[in-house]
Amino acid sequence: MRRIIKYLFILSIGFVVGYLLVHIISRYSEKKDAENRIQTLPDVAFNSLAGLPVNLKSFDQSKPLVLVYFHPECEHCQYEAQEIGQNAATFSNCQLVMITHDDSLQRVKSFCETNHLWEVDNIEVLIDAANQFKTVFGKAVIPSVYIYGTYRKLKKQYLGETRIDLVLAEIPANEKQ
Amino acid sequence: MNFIYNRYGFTTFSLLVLITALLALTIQILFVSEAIYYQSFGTQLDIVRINKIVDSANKYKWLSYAVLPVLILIRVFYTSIFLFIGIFFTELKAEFGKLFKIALLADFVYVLAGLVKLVILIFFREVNTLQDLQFQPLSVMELLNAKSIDPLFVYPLSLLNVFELGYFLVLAWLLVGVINEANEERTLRFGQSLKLVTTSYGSGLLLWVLVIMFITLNLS
Repeated sequence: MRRIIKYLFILSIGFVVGYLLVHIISRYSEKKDAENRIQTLPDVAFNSLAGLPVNLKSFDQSKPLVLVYFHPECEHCQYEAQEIGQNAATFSNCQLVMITHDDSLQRVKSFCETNHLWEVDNIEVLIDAANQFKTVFGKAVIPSVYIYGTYRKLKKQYLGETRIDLVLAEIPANEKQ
Repeated sequence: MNFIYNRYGFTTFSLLVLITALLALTIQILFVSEAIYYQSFGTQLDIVRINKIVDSANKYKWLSYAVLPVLILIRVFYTSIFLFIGIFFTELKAEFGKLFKIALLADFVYVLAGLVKLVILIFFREVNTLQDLQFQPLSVMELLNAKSIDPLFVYPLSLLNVFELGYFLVLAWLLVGVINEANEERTLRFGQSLKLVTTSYGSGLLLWVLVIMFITLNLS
């Protein structure tokens, strides 16, 4: 009996260790692939607030692209959005794309209104309904900022709440692409 | 489990918690000032936001001391369980309470690690940010450039340290006494005990490291 329990236990531990190892290796390699992939703007589409698919590559290539991944209920995102709203004019030289996986359209709209995001000239708010962001970008830190510049090359990425002046420093006025 | 209820067991546990808490408190008093928060987060956060972090840290710093006994109990319990299972499979005998006792005594190795860390911080390191406080003394991680290591491997590489090795050795040494006392017909040598600790507690440690890596990958 003791021998049966012993083998069953070893088998169970082996199974758990095996599962964890396989998962860690596959997730780690996905993450590394994503790190390389996002060095240039990935070819991925999210839904607009009207429900239409919008590809990230479809935006005006002559302007730097700032992607902000957020959630309306995240306090750090609220602060960051408030800062963006207060500095709306300084974002006129770039295309700002805010992406969220929140499924409440009402909450997302209210978030944009409360933080005066509609005052930014070139803003697009997109819904990641299929949770693609994490797969494509390898991580989904809320909030995170990705800044793409010339030839849609990744200039900088910030994970977690970030000062707006750091973002603005990457999009100099009338940047020549 | 009698050990934890008797006076000797409770005194040992209390002493372990007290020394660990004192070490943490000393590090906090000596190195964790408000300035360290500004230096740690100032490169990415606004000052008003850092003020908020400082307020929260001050408000909840008692919490880390409050959970300390629970964390130590969980760690000791985890080690005891894996030792118990390992011994069960070898058909040797040992009371769980006695295994809990040796796991608790072996835990003092981590106190020694804390002391060495404190000495290194005081005499050999310049502490500017909170990251400077997060290191495991005499570990493989200390031989490498932290910036070039993927965050996923920081914890496992930090676990490969002199004190973890010491923990294995002390556990094996204490286990010899417990096993030989309970099994008069079979004696256990130190080498055999070390092998037993490596396969039993070692499996538990491997499982723990994998769980931490799994969580690290999935949370990011």
